[in-house]
Amino acid sequence: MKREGVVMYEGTTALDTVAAQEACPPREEPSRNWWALLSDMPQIGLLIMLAVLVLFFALTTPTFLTFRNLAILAGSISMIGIVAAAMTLVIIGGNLDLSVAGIIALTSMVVANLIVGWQWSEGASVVAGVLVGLVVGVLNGFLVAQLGINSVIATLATYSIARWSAYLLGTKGRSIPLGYAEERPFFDSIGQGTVLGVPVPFLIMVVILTAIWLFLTWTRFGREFLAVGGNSLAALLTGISVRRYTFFAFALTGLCAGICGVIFASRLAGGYPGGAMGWELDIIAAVFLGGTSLTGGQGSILGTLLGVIIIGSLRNGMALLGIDITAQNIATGSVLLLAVLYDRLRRGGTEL
Amino acid sequence: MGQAERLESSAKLQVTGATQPRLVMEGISKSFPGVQALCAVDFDLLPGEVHALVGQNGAGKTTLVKIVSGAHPADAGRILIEGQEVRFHSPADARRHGIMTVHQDWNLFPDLSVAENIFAGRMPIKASGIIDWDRCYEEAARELRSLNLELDPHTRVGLLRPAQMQMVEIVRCVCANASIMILDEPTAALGPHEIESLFAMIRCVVAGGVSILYISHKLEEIQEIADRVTVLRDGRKVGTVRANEVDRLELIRMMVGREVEAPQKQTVVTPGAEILRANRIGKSKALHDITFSLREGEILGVFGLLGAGQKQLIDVLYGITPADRGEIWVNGNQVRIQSPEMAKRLGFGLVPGDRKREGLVQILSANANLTLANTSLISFAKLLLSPRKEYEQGWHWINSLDIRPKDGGRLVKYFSGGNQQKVVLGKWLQNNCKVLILDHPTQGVDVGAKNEIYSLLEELAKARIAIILVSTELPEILAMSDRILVMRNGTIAAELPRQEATNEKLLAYATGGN
Repeated sequence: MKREGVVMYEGTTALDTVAAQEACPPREEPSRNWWALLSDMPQIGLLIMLAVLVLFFALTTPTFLTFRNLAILAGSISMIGIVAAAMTLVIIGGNLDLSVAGIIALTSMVVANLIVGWQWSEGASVVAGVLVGLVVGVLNGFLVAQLGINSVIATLATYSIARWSAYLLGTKGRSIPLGYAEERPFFDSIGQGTVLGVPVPFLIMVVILTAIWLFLTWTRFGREFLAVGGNSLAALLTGISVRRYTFFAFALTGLCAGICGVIFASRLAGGYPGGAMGWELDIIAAVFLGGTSLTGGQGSILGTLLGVIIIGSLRNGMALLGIDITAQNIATGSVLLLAVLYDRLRRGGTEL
Repeated sequence: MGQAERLESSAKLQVTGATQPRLVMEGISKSFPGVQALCAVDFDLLPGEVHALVGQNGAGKTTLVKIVSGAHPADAGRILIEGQEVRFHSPADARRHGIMTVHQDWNLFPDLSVAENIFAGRMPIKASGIIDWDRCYEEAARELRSLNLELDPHTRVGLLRPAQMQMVEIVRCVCANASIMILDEPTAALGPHEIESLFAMIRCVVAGGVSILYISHKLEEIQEIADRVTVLRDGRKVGTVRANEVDRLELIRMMVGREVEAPQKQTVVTPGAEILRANRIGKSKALHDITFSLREGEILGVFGLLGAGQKQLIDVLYGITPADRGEIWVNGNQVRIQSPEMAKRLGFGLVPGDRKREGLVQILSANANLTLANTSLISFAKLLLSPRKEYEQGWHWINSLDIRPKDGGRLVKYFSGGNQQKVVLGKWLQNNCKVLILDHPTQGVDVGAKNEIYSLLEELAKARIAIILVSTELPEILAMSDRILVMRNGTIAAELPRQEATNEKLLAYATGGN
């Protein structure tokens, strides 16, 4: 076998960068043509899907496109949206969090209990509720990141713990109604208030979505997070702490579920141990629908937002058409399945 | 090559008797993109013979075995079994012709019994359609006895020692009427006593008329167990010799070839201060008493056959599985390296062996990968990403390492193997690493890019980076290293300065004996 001698760089050495450096050509700014940007967007399919849905419900129901209904829609999707934003991070990291609905129910019970039973102030009760969510999230993170337990199993267990702790908090498992007799301006406004006609929960969702989007897209930690999701082994060998990011995603999801639980308690004026039943399905479906994939470390917060709006509109429209909750749940389950199948197709692979 | 040919013809004279070869491969060629893995190789296997296949890594042994076992089709040449030409489209085809492979990683079911494993997929069935357990255990016991194995067919396979598992797998092949058995490095995980009993069993199996194609790096073993040896080098057959008529050095010479034209390191850097010292470090049973030192600007080659403990050494130095014995000193301070993150902080960098799986995040751009080890360099206030900084830093390394195409915004998965490897290297240079560990850095890289990587390593040494080059490729180790550690069985068998190292010496230390 013939081998050629080592080819040396002529004149300059590889590391003699200042001398060898070819002038850096100016970076090409991404196209500003909004039509090109739009057609390039991976979420274009979702936008079309949403448009079809909206058109369908607008034609079949007289009320779908009224301001009042849209305000209701905005309020109801925001609870799902807040948790879905954080869940996007969990799924990018290749995990799932099934405990969120349990956390929401538990938080609503804690808040209601503190206000009614313990006569805590509104502010303190709200903070305590959010902290309960964070604590469960931290537990999830510890189980998955530190102990290496499969996330589905770990969060299934903590779901059960949170859900049944919620039942424990009400005497004989009953819910704790707050009643409308008393005035609680701060607490009530969290779930029911509006600013210029926009529901407060919707505003909270926008703030959280924006913050997580900023984190993922514009901070170096978001970059490292994407690397962990894209190839956790390579990230580990690049000296990035995979554990820390996994832990962070679960803790944040717990926190967001806690916030969601407070909004839930405020909107329904009470704590409901059986509340938010099956919400994890809507949340996970929205994230998958938005194009985040369990295997690829790819994900977009914008996609998740669109997924949330689609699932919310679907439920809202079906309710307007008089379809009962059972059929709605079957429809959301089907949407989740379709989203996953679509993801497989898009990847062009049939391998599991 | 004259001597090899003479040996081959003498071997031919002795084996061409009345017996018809069971397997004949004629003019087998196979190429993969960029590599000619096999070039017109002939091979034959007689009934009741152990025929060993030897050669360095990349000589084409694995490819030949894959062709025999139906995993790859050959590009050219033909295969005859008992004089009949056959074509294999899948491993199942090959099995139907009685060709079975005993793999390095045994594919047994650890939770099933020995008998269940032996008959897996072919359980004896009663007329009523249910499994005939009595017959299953009786027949398994009979087979085990006939091969002189003292094993209870009821034992759960997961409880067996590695050697016993291997034997169960061999029994399984015998029971499935294998006429040709391929043993791929069967002794890699076995101790001396276990090897003895494995060999006793192989002799038993061969006495029953089965032919064995035996692949191993361990030349002493081959001389003990094999009847004939075929040597491959660079995808070509060097020759076939009778195992008892050739000495080990002759085999090594055949494997290495006489005129190895290796890239030669052009310059010698005077090494600087000691930057890393390992003192008797060890890790469970895999690594023992590793002691060495490394100085700035020095290239330390670590040579050994596959599985000699190099992987474990890298894992320990880089904190992937921390050492449990011994001391590591970096810049004169004793340290405990508990994680890759900590290793990175101490100035280590790792170019892993499996670039795609361990080195790169395929869904990110080349620029993002190049800057991943130190993202604070491309941020404002160590927090917010700056696309401009990322682009400029990416450009800097793309330009200095001559990565092609010069488009850092492109996803890294669309770059060629050599350029991807440069991206992995660039990542550590960007982080200003002091000790660079490279695990087979030129694996799967074409010749041109290989040479570029070699000259890059020289440049890095000149820039006073200390380099640990782990490789099983002799020419690479000999050409690039200032000093060479030879590993065997998880320990350091020899340390040789560049001037004293030769192909034969390194292989002799790596294969055992002196």
